[in-house]
Amino acid sequence: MAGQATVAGFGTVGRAALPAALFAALGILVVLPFLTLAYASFISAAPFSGDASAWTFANYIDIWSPEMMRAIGNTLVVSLFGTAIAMTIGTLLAWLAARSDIPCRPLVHLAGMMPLFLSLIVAALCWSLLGSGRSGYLNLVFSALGLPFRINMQSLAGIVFVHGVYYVSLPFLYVHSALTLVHPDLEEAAAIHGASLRRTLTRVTFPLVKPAIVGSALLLVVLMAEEFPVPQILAGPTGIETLSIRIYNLMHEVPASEGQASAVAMVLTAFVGLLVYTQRRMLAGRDFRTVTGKGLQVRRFPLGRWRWIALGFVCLYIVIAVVLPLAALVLTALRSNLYISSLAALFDPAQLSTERLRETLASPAVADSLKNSLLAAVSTAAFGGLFYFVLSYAVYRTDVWGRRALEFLAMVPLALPALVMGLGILWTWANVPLPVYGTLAILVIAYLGRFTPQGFRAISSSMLQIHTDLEEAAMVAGASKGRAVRRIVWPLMRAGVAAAMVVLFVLALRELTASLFLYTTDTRVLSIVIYEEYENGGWSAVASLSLIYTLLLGALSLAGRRWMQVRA
Amino acid sequence: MSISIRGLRKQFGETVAVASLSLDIAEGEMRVLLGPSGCGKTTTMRCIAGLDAPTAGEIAIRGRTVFSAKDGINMPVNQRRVGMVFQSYAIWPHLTVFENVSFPLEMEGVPRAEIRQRVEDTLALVGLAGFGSRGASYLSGGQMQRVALARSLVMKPSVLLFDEPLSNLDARLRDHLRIELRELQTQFNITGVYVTHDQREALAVADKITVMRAGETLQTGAPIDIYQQPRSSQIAEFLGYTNIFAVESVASCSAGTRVRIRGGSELHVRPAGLIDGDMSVCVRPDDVSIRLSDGALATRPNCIPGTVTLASFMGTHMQYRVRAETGAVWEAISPRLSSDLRVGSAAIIEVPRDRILVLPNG
Repeated sequence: MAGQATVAGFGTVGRAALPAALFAALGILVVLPFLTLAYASFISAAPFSGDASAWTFANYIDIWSPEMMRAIGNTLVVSLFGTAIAMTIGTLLAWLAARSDIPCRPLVHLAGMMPLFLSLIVAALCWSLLGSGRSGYLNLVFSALGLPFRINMQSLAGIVFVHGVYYVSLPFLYVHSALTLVHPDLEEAAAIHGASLRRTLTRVTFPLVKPAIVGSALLLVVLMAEEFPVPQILAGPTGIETLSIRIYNLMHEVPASEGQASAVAMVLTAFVGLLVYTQRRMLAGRDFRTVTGKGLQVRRFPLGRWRWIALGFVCLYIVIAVVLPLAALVLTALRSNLYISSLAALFDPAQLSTERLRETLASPAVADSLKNSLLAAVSTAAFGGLFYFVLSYAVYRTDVWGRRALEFLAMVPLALPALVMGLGILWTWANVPLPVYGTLAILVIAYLGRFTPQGFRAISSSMLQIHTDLEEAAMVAGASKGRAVRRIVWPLMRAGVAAAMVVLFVLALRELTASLFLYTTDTRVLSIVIYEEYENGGWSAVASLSLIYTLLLGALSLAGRRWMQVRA
Repeated sequence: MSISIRGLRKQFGETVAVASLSLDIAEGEMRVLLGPSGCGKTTTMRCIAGLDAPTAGEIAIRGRTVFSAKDGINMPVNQRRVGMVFQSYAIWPHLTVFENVSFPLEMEGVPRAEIRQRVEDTLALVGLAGFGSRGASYLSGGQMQRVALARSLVMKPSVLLFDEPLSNLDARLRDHLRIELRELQTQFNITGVYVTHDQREALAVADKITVMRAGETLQTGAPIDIYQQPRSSQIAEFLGYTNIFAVESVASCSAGTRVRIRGGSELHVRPAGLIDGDMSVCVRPDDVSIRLSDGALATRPNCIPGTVTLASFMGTHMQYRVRAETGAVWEAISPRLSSDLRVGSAAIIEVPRDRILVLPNG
């Protein structure tokens, strides 16, 4: 029967116990932190502090200060303008890679994917080095060339710029795969019925990929609205606030305003939730990322003399997004003296040494944080791989009760800003009489909750590619449910699960925002150490660590891509 | 009885896939469930296999009750010892041909040496001797379906289920495999349930056919009986009666019974089997003869003058469409390969009285 994709033969015990266990797990990972936060926003004292408290709406009234209004305005600016830039670059790159006769097409592909390899924290740090004040490297260059203008990254414009340049991969991937999926027959049919290439593009191709464009744009607005590290690193020191920074600052005031921070967090969540809901409604029933193109012969739009201009644009993007920042990192990591007066001094070989780099790497704090990072990321990947596999199996391959609700819960973290989850998890676990708070386990719990949508999607999309007939054939042939999964489903999914685990590993390694509320001195991870060094102004350590961090992430992302290609 | 089904009902939420179905399938019989998609045939088969749990009813295989809603029995699919050949083949791509076929025996716990022997015998039987070490994903569609068949045969199942096994194959291969499949089934006296929507395939492989529609069984019988005497015009249409015309009035005359069909033509029919209510005249195209009009007025009964609107050469026969003067369009198949009858020719079609079925609608 159409639509019947579940597998029968499930014992009565499993039928009840499996969903119960999954609901419990998602409840702890996702629902509990949110409820705790909601609770904190309606009481007069800090949650679970032991102080006398009463139910109140005061928090929701007190937050509407002029600062709050400015923060809302700033959040809108950085997310809307950032989205506009990222969408323009991403869609253009996707179209150039998929449908034009641009030379060096693999390079275009690489350009679209590259921002994925660079952590946003590192990107913000690099651009801070390149364009803050008179000693920003780019400003030194402009000054040496006698140019009249300077750039200032420590501003709203700076945040918009970094958002716009580094969120390109998401629209690129969405639009590129949507373009690859447009069957060439559809375009050829338009041509046969008299449409010129240009009209085919505007009348057939573009309307077909429009959902991908609109969907990724909405997702970008969400991600940028809740983004914390980029605005904080670039503009935090200047006092510019977005909603995320506002929450963070309210928590770090003395005394902290937990109630107001929670209320602002609820406002941000409501905003983000509304956008996510709209986005999912618009894309209902489509998933542009999971289907791969069939390598069909497509007609490529001849760019004519624009070919080289287009290639120039791609190269310029690569220089801005990757080459300049990495150069800045290397220069800073290798400098013994951070005070630079002129361009000549910037490249003075006498100033270069690996001493600082070696010093940083040899420090025990760094070694500990590296160990912590790897341990947390490995645990996230291992537990996540197993958990999301079971979750996907229950949702898509069984007819147990509550499947739809489980699927919904698994996607909820998309609508929960990382800062909000971090805060919620902090208050939940700081008050549970279990030795979790203050250990690496709480970071793993935060990562597992936060990356549930990504892990669940990655694993379920590879599960959905395995026809239910394969499993049913095993059961007809005499295998029990467990044996059918072990002998047939699991071996077929191994590569898919491994790829998802690499993705989880990378995501966990990159995480900063939620970790900021949850780390202690013993459980600092690499991203935290970088952030702390930045706050203390230790730029050479920041640069050295960022360099290692980038190399690590780059290598992993490459390995991940290799895995996924094996699967395809 | 090898399979006995009583009062089977299956609902998916509000949708009723099978309303109330009872079937008895004898030992060694090949039973075809024939019907359009959505008629409940696949659901019925999945209930027999144990892949879907019925909403109500009872199913017994070889006298052993495997499902009973009343007594709360639902034997798990892996204990029912049924074989199944899937439409998608369901060949495990990560295993070799040998491993695919040996899988059911491994599950059963058969000793290794015996497994080897039985798998090789079965592979030889389906014409895949020497293919054992081949990776299953490198096979053609036909070969995959042979592996699927071997995988089911090797377990010596009490019942073998076929879910549209040939529908993903091209026409020539389909004919070829259908014959082999029927040979193997009769040779080993296997009880089979075969689901298809292709009436030609159904007629060719069945000992008995059950015609289904919208979750109900319409008629059960031997292929020849069903083909010659369908119970309603709907079944007739499904079996390839392309000339179906609603009856407007019935009258008796000296020569027997006369019916008037929509558009005004009058046809003499056998008096037997006339029913009250909505009826249609059903004629197979190969029972309609066609000739060039000689200009003289057609005076014999059941001769209808008209114009050829289609003449199509089919290799072994000619296919025609004729628009009668009354407006009705008749289809005729003629074994005489001639080029006299062209589009636009005036033609006369003749329908023998004994070949006209008058059947109730619905």
